[in-house]
Amino acid sequence: MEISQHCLKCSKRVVWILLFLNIFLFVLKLIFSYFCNSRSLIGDTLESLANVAIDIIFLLSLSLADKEPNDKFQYGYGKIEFLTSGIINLLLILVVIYFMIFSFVEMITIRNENPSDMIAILPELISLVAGQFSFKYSSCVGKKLKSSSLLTIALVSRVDMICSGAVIIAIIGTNLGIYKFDHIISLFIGALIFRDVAVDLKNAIKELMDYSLDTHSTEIKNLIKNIGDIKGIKNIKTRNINRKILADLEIYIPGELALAKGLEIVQKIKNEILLHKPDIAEVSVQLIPFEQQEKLNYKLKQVFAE
Amino acid sequence: MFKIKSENRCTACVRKVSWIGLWYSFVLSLLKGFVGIISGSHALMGSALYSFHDVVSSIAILIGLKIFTKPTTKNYPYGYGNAEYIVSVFISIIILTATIFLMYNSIKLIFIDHKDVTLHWSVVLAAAFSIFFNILLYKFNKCAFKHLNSPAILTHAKHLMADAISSMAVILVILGTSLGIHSLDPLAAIFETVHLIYLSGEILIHGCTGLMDKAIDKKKIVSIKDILADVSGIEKIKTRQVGRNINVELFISFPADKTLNEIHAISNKITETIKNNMKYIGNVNVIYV
Repeated sequence: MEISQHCLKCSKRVVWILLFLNIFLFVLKLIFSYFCNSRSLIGDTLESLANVAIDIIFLLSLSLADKEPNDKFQYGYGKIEFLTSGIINLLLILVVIYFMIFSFVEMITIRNENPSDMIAILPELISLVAGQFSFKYSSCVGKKLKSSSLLTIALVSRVDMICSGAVIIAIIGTNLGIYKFDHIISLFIGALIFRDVAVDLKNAIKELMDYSLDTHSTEIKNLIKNIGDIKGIKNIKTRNINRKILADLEIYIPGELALAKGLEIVQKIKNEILLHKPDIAEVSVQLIPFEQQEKLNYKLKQVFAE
Repeated sequence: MFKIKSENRCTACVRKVSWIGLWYSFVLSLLKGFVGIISGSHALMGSALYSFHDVVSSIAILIGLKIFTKPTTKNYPYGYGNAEYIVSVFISIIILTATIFLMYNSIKLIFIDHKDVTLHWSVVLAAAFSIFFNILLYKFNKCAFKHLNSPAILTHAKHLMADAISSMAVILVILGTSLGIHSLDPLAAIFETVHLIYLSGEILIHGCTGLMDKAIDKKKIVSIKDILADVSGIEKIKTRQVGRNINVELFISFPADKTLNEIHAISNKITETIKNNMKYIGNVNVIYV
């Protein structure tokens, strides 16, 4: 089943809304960091700027993902979503590692500084609320559309929320006289973010490596095993391209059948799969003569017993 | 020095050379970095960054060699060929990030800090050492690429040559500073970073397009059509590069009254012909239309 145009427009609308929200937060934090003498707030301002860049990159990738296949990219541009997620997650990991090393070095080398003005908490509170909205909105749409880009944007929003929370704690802590508190919190937060981003990165890598879920293969087998003249299934491969799954099947049918009959069987298989598995967009079927099975020493019973 | 008899021998050779290259580049990056920091030479620090790239890309090749030779599994039925592209993309991003950092510091040195750098003769030694060994390793890796067609190995070879060139630039800087042109050092560093950004960008684009299932170039598609000149009914040819191998899908219409046995024999012959006449062919699927 194709995702409706209405849903596709919604996915772009989400990113546009988040882009304007992040621009607003960046400007707000920039103004406050100028007046409030807060190192944490300066760091968070840069983080908001990074979010603006991330949203622009995702908008570009979402536009490209919907382009029709052409001679250069015969399977379409769908995988750009996984690629963008992977690259953004890698950059986040590099930033987190740098941030943690920097916080640790600062913690052990610099002396106590003057605390930031408490008013610096205000933009962070606004950022916290905005981050929660962004996270809920993008993860809801991302799950419905199975879009890895939107799920990564949701993760970035969550990271933003965590950073805002950390800055608030740091400002309060330093004003209460606990001068190294913000560094300790930064290290803890860094570890949490690293864990979440690493999981998202791993998922993006799996999709880029054409990971095939067992559940798809099992469901397809169950759908087609009763179609007449199918003697066995040699192989089922699936891979994910931008919310669409492509399935490649290798099917045994009697070798003495004419091609016309074989093509009828192929059409029945495709109809059955596309009707009952709406997440599969394309099916390609290779027919193998059943008599070849004995030469390959292939055990048919084992296939249907799995 | 190495007698190449089969692909397994090639892979073993590349693995050996990659380990040697890794340790050599690691030592060289430490040496250049240390001498660069002590002497204050940004150009040499930039050159140390090139060697650091080589360390990272050697690690990438070793990981790639381990992963992409793995057989297909249930969860990865198309194989692990794309691991090479993933590794290339990640290396280029790490390198780009470090390079932008160095560029920023070099620009700051020229326009804000206005520091004159006086360089030491040890810089020349470090640079000369780097030129010699990088060119040697470059030749090994070019040979390995010819035999294994691995994008990661080609990437690494380009890095090694870039490292050698950057070390030549360092020697020019020494000559320049001895003639009193002190701003040559940060300028050379900026030039190196621009070149590194270009190299890394090239590798990033190559890796990204590979991961997006880019089709093979038109020349190779024409070769496939020439090989299959005697086969009628070819409606469409779809290809995609998966690591060093090419996956081909042929959409062929056969006479409807032919039996599957007859057609299957023909398509086996087609597959065999393509694999015998073209290198690095992975899967060939013949789809009957």
